[in-house]
Amino acid sequence: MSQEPSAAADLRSRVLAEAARTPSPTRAVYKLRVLVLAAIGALATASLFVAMGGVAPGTRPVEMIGFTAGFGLLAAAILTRLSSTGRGPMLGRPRSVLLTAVVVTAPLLALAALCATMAWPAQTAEDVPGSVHLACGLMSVAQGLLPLLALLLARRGTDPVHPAVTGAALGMTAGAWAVVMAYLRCPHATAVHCILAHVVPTLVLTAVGAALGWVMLRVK
Amino acid sequence: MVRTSGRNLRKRAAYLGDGSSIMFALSEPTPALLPGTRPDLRDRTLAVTEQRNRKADPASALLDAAMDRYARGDDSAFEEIYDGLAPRLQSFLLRYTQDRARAEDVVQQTMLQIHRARGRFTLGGQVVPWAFAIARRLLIDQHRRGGREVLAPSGDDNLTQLLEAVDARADDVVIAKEVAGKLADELARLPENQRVAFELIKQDGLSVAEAAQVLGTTVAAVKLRAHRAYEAMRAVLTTLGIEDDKHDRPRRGQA
Repeated sequence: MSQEPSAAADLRSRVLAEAARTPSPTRAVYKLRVLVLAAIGALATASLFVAMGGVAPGTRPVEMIGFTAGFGLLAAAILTRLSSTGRGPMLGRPRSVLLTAVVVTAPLLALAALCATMAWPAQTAEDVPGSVHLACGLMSVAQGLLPLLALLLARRGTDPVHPAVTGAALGMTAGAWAVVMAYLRCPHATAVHCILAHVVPTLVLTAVGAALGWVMLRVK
Repeated sequence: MVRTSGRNLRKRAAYLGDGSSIMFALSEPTPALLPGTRPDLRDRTLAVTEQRNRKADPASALLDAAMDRYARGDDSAFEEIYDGLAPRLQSFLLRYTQDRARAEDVVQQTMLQIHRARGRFTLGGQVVPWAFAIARRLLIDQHRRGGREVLAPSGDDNLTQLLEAVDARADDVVIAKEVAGKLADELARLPENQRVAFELIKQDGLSVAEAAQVLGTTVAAVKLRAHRAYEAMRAVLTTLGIEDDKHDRPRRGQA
């Protein structure tokens, strides 16, 4: 029995010595790193957006662009708030909250696209070839990958509870931001194109986020 | 048929380690947790229990303050955090590993993880659920990698040894041992989510909100899981003819 206090004291001294030997970033340093990562991610994404042609309204009315991009922006802002831990609980939101946000967002974005085409029916007459859907979809995925990587890097090794779900939420968040950019840069406004090339990529990014989240976010 | 005074039995069982701590937890007056109780009453009682846990555990608030200082760069606060967290984590981990060395290994990893991630600690955050969540994750991962032991709570290994140290009447001790064993068996039979919720709240002293954070779920879900576990535990006590004296409920076999 007398060995137990001694073992506990040994463990204590071992842990304290190890902590003293390996300095770790304080909150100020961590915040700075996150800011730098966010700035790099935002800059890279904006550069890619400009390289892809920037804002291209085509024949779409400004109100339609404002509605679709604005809805995407609203979704992106809500998801960013939900998936961040800035002032929220230390261990993030409950699994059910994140999953609901992930599951509900894509159908809502699709619904917004349908509403936009119903409100501005003149835009639906356009015939968009399949190759355009694919190219635009790939661009959306590429635009979402950069912010997704920035978000994952900023939080790597920090989620002991549900890293894959958090990764999926971050993927959907990045996807929502990609939707905003897609509505700004893509002149095509048919419902099929908006769903296939703008909304479906959010699901791809969600899957990528879940897989990368499991690898990068979990506590090891 | 086992029939004895619940109060006396619990006094004896207070010395009996893991199995008895279940009894001790059940000895608290929580009438709204009884089967058939209205859900609103149940929620109110659980909320009161949570408040009581908070009041009874000012150490958590001190730990949060220490962690905040540590996150801001005060290195000396780590000792305070270690002293406050390590014994609780060790007790939590020992129950699952039944192996002191393995539990110490996970405690060490958990504390170093907290050290490495101190910059992430948000202002006003809670360190206790964070630490428990890290420990639980490390334990699960270690189990998946090594597969050394079944990840289930231990029984009461030191029961016999502890009984010898208790100045108790032999028949009470035997009954207490039997009851503690049956409660531990029932706890082991519960679905994992109910068992873990019950243990975090009643055996590790976390509040319902803290347990919800550790398990990554909502407060309502944890309340429900813990309530189901309480019901199962109480059903065992009822089967054994043990009632809570404070509720003045008739004992089995009595009119």
